[in-house]
Amino acid sequence: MRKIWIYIVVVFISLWILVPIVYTIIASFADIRDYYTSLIPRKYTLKYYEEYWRLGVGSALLRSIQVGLLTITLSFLIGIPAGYSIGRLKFRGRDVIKVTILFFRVLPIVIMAVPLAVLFIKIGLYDTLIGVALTHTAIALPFVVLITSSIFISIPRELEEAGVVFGLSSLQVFTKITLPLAAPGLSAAAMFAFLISWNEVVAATILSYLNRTLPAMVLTPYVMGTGGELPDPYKFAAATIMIAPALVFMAYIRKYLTAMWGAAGVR
Amino acid sequence: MRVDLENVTKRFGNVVAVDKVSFSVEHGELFVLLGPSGCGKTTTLRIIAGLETPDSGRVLFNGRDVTHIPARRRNVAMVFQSYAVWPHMKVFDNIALPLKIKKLPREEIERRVKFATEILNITHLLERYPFQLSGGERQRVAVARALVVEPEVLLMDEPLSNLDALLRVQARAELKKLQRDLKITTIYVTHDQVEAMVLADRIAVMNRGKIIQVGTPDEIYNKPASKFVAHFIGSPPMNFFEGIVEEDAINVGFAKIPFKNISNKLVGKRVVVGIRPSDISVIPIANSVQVKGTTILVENLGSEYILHIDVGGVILRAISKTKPTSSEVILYLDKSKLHVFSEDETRVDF
Amino acid sequence: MVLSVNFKLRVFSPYILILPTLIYVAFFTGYPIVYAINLALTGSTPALLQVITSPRLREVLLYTTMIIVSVIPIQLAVAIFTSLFFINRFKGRELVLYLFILPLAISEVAAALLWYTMLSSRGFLNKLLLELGVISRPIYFFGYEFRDRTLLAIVLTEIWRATAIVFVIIYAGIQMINREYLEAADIFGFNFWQKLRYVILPLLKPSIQTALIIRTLFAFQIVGPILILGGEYVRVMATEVVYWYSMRMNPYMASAWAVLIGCIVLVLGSIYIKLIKPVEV
Repeated sequence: MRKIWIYIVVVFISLWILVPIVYTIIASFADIRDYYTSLIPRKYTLKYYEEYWRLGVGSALLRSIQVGLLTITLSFLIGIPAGYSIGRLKFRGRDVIKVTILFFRVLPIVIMAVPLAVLFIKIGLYDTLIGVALTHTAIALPFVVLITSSIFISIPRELEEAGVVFGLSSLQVFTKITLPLAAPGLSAAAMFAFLISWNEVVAATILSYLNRTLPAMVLTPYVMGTGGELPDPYKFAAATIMIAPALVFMAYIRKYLTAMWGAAGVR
Repeated sequence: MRVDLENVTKRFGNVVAVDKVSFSVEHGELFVLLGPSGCGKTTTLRIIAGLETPDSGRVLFNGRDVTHIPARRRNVAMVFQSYAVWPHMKVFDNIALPLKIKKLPREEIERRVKFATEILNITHLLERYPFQLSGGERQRVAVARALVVEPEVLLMDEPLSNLDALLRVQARAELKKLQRDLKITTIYVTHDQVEAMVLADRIAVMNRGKIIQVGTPDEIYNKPASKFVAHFIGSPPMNFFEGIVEEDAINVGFAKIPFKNISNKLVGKRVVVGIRPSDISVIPIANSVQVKGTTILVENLGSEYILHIDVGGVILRAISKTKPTSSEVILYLDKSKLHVFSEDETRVDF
Repeated sequence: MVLSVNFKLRVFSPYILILPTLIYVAFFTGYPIVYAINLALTGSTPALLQVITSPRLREVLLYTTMIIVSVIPIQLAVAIFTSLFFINRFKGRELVLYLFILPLAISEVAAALLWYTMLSSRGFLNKLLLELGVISRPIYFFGYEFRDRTLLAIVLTEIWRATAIVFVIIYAGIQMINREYLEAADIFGFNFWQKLRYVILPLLKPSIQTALIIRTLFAFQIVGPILILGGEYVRVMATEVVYWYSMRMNPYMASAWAVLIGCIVLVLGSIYIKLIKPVEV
């Protein structure tokens, strides 16, 4: 009896997630007139993709990936020590600092982007991947700190204290005991940082001109106001291209997700 | 409440954790499941609790089949090994909450909480949070919580194993008295055989998922059904040495021990003879087998000594109140306390 | 000598570990904030004042509130129940889990386009219902006359896309809950709702706090679905910022809207932190 409910929910979730994705992908390969008239199109073509590709989509893709990886690296290097400190150590003003870090993340990225754009122009970082990555890191940092701090809170202190008793230095305790235990949660944080960068469209648009990341390239017509909207077939192609690497990425880390949740969750 | 298990079996993957386990617990009895880690005692307890469902077999409460009834609809209470005292509630709420969700009136809840906390001496801790309590105090909270629901069956999963040694002895005695006064059917899991001997009305010794022997502490101690039980119960553990059965005697190498009434089927076969260190004396006693040996080690327990004696190549442990004066000793093995086990490790009676 | 150096390090080390983050974040947002506030308040009629007294304010605030108040509680509830659902063991569990968090990888822009495909007049939903004969004319979700339905479309898109973020945090939190706390509740007769109320939710507080903070922060900055699905007639505070900057080239008004968003989010964040106090386990 219970199993039936479980499988109903499973089917529902699967459809809910898959239908928008699959249907859009199908639509992007479909002849548009056929698409408009039938639920499942019968005529397919690649011509919309060809046209769209000629508008420069491939290199935008690569740029997005590079910026994402840079963002993970930077935000971890800077943010994990802070997350550890907030999650682990008791010190005066801990809550205040927590709110402060959040407070800094309050502005819409648009406004952050404009003064930064001006600054970047002056120091030569405008229209570079590093510039965008630095900005994305600033965006991701507070979340990395928050997430890692709650991860570290949940690791029992005794495990670290055991390390100290056995003669490990603070740094060794951190690298040999805390980090491995926090690894599943940290991989979630890394995913998070990458995706923040990948999805980020506004700063990427404002801080670049020729070297656009993919989402920026797609949104530009909408931002510029009426009349720039993509025709339907390009909408589908754009969506497909934007989610394709994301799907590949998710398939790739699927086994790490399983490790992260399979071990803990199957009990 | 009477509890019966009939052929209960539970598998986890390829491992048979509980293998055709059957036993009965009388109403008001303190029944102990005893065995080494991994023997299936905790799994059996969890099946009785309703936290696990067996693959086959039945669990009966007063004759009623509860095997597939989920935990929350059985009127049992459990004290977990880690106590499972809810960390985000005060002690009072921890104990009162099970009653609150049963929608008992406020006065009744307060009365029961007062009663339980007084018995367990934790009334002064009611307003504290679990993280402010010591292990022993948390354990008492867990017991109090189990008592207030007035369960028909009380289940305890190694509740004393996380306490330090001194506290453990004290808590043990208090638990025994408590159970006797309240007369609740209690099923208790432990790997500590001293605890089992002290607390139990009856013990079920388990190993590798199977029940090896069920009996009173006296029966288990004096008439162990197998070499495993004989070795597991009693501290220091029983001495074992091999022998060959001859007519009316067993030849163990360093002695030929006369035995009457040994079955003829066993003549010529190998057996294992066992005797507890407390049944080997350095002072002459009646009806004993005398053997000579050399002392190789003396352990000083304060109240007595454990002597390790080499007797013809076999090491026997004996208990003595006095320290031996020379390394050559004569041991007197109490003939009435000898145990014999056949090759398949079951007890041989004679 | 060595002792005093160690002592000093130990006393100050939390601050040393936090310093790089603080400096980095402070610079990257402090400088723009200062500059933005500056922009919002300069002039004889400061932009901020203009925003507060403008007739557009009410409409924008209304839309923003409606979207946020619909999306966040639904997402939190869905995340909690789905997390509890995924505790069950069943075949294919990992696959479904992976599917559920798939939208994490999908940007707001892409998600908006996907739901355009679903809900447009010649999109999936309409074509399906027409084929099945349930409706005879398409249901319109986009367009000025259908503003309310557009809101629904936006809310749906956000729920589809962003629940996974909340879920990841809540699910991790649920797994941290010691199984025995729940088993004890089982033994003592708690039904599902009682377990939820007395054991699960209280122990989930740190995760709920984190999830709410993160989600609220994000929610105020969403522009993709609004712009792509809502066109010009659904406005939220974040799109006002974009509108004033990119279209009207007015950094002053844009900054004013941004400052307004900032104040609201700050207040909400503090409320979350103060109201949801996690208990030390």
